[in-house]
Amino acid sequence: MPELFPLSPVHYVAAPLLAAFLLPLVAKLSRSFIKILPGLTFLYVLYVSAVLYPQALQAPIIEQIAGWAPPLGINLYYGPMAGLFASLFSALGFIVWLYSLTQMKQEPLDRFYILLMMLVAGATGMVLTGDIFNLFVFMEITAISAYSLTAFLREDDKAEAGFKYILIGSLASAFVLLGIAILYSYTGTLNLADLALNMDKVPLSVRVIVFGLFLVGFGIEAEIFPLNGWAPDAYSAAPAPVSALFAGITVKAALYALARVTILLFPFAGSMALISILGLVTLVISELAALHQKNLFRMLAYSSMGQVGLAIAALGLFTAEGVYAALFAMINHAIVKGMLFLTVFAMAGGSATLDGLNGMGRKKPILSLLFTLGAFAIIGLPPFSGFWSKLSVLTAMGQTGNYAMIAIVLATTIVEAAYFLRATGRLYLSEGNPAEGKTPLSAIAALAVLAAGILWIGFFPGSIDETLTAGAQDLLDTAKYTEGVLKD
Amino acid sequence: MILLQWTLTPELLYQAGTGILLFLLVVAAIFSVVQKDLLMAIVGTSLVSLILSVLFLLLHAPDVALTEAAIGVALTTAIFLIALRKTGRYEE
Amino acid sequence: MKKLLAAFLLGFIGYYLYTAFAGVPFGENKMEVGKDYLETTVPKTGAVNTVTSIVVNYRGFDTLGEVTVLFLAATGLGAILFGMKGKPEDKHREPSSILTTGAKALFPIIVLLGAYIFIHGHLTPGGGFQGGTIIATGVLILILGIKSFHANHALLSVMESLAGITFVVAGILGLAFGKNFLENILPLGTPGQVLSAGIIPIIYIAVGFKVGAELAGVLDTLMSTTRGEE
Repeated sequence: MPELFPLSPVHYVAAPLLAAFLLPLVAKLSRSFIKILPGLTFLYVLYVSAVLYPQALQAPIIEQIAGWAPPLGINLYYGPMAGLFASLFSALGFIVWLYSLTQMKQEPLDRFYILLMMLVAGATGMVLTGDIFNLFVFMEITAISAYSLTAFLREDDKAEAGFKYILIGSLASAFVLLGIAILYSYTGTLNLADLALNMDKVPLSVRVIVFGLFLVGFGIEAEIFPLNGWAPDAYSAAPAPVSALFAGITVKAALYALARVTILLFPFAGSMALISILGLVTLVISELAALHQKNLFRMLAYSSMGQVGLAIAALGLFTAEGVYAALFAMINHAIVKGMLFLTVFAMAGGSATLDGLNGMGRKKPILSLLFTLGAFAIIGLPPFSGFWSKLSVLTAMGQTGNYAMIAIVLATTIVEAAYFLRATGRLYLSEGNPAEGKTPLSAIAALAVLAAGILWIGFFPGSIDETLTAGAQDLLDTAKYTEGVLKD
Repeated sequence: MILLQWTLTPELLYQAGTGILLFLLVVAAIFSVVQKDLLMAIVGTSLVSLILSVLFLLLHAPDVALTEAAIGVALTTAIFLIALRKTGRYEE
Repeated sequence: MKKLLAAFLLGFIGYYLYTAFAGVPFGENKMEVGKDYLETTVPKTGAVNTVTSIVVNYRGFDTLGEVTVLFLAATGLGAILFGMKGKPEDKHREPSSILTTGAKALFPIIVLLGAYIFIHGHLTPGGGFQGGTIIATGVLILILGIKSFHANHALLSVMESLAGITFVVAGILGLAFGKNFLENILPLGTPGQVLSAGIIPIIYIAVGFKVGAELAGVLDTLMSTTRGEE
């Protein structure tokens, strides 16, 4: 019914919401709907992406909610960068759903899928919205789903991880909300584009304070170094499909929010350099911490923070190449780390340790191969996707003359290689206990899609060049953004 | 006597009332933080909400006052009390 | 040492927050968006209560998000407490007959007040969130006053779902009529009457039902859960 319901970006949020409200009803009709409905929803938003994203590459789609022009109402901004993220999130959501079909057995499944859908929808809303308070609302939606999913397995240590996450996450929300309140009381507007034009009403010292509040708030969600104490616990406590989404979606949405807000409202050289430095510190500390982990999920969690640190370091350059590299690193990380989380869970269960990998190379050859592929891609070996993303990061750093940054990135790559190769070695070189159970087809299919993505980007890196360039331009061209939103 | 020279205008009453309420608000907030008996701490937070609700009304925000009264004073307190009953009354 | 550090950090944050808020230009007519809201509410939305028109119409998308936040909180609570149902504790004291009679007498009045508040959301202060919460406190009184009382969770969940669907469908209808998501498609009517302001009362009544059902469900889930496994 394309005439009746013209596709627009709001479908990304409205469809999952409708499905989430419908799910308790249809679950009463038949239990099988609980699994089918989320899949259909993810397929639908993927279809929306397929139609809208090519249009967004031509010209950004700006939608006004409830028909009120921006400073009065809320608008959605679906440009090349938002489109890229929204499409990525929808695809990851679908893959994780496919994987959960057979791998997720913990009741209550209806509530699990509601929370899963809203985690994806909330993160998508964060990248779509053009209003700073609306951004906060979607951040809350994402965060509350994430808290509940962290404690979903209902064991004491998982509840503790969830509780830790709630405490720190509430702090993040409070900081962001305070920042928004200060901005609103000085400018009298909440629209991002309108705020960008009215920032001269805010004294410089207050702008620095608000930037600090946003940096802490979004930084907690984006797992930037001194603020990421909750992350390893949350990643290892949550069910593996959810950990994959944490790495692939929630962090990326928070990073997008931080990048968008920084470039629109706080475009000082100092704020950007600070972000870059924090990224590097995160990278170094997380990679060193990952080296000491026995629990595989904790190892992947630290590695995840390191990868995000790498993306942040590149993003903080705020040059076209830097943002390009950051986007590349984020996409690469979302695909590869998602695959690694899912593979480890399929291979060794929810409490996998390094020893759990012993001898898997013979018992579960497909999964072991996938793990090896993911490990090589993360380290950045050619010809996998990670190689190109790391190369673009290094190029961007080289172009701005930051040779110290290059040295740090290369050094951490060696650390990364050390612990990933150690894990891979366990697969093939150690003897282990006999494995039990077969991996269902749907899980393998989900992993295969991700593996295909890694290989595709690895062999044809040029194929995503256009989308990344457009995304980077979209983020950096603030004049185009504000004019587009406030054109009437 | 300076005090007698003041006329009791509505503005003065309003300001004095707001001032007293603000002071009580801070006292109640500190009380609920330092209190080891969690039941009393909950009463403290409930009091904070109640005072806030009156303050919102004085600031001509009846919608917010109503929300604060219904959610902050009644419902949150009830949920805290239920949680307290299921766990323990004293902070360890 | 740890306490000293915490105190220092708090002082640091507090000082800078104070300086940020101290400079806020209060009392000046700087709120351009706010002025527009006050001028356009009655002619363009038909609602007499400006706050409601902002919450449900101008920034209706935020409200949809907030409703979802509450829904997720209730869902998450249910997920975490799943399987922890148990008998009420032994030390549960019998409610006195005064409490029981009082609860029965008060409940209808409280529900009436709550319903009044959310049905008149576009006319008088209050709306769906407030009315729904008031109804939930009515259910709380029943839970406290009548020992055998248990909320009907199946009914609550159906009500909650239908109300949520109403909100989203009201939004999608705007799209179907060639307008924007959540845009008003009904006649505005005469401002000040109950049947006016287009879809605002419909959405607020749905919100009232949803919030009431959710919070009542949360209270009942919490009350009937006991510590211990399975």
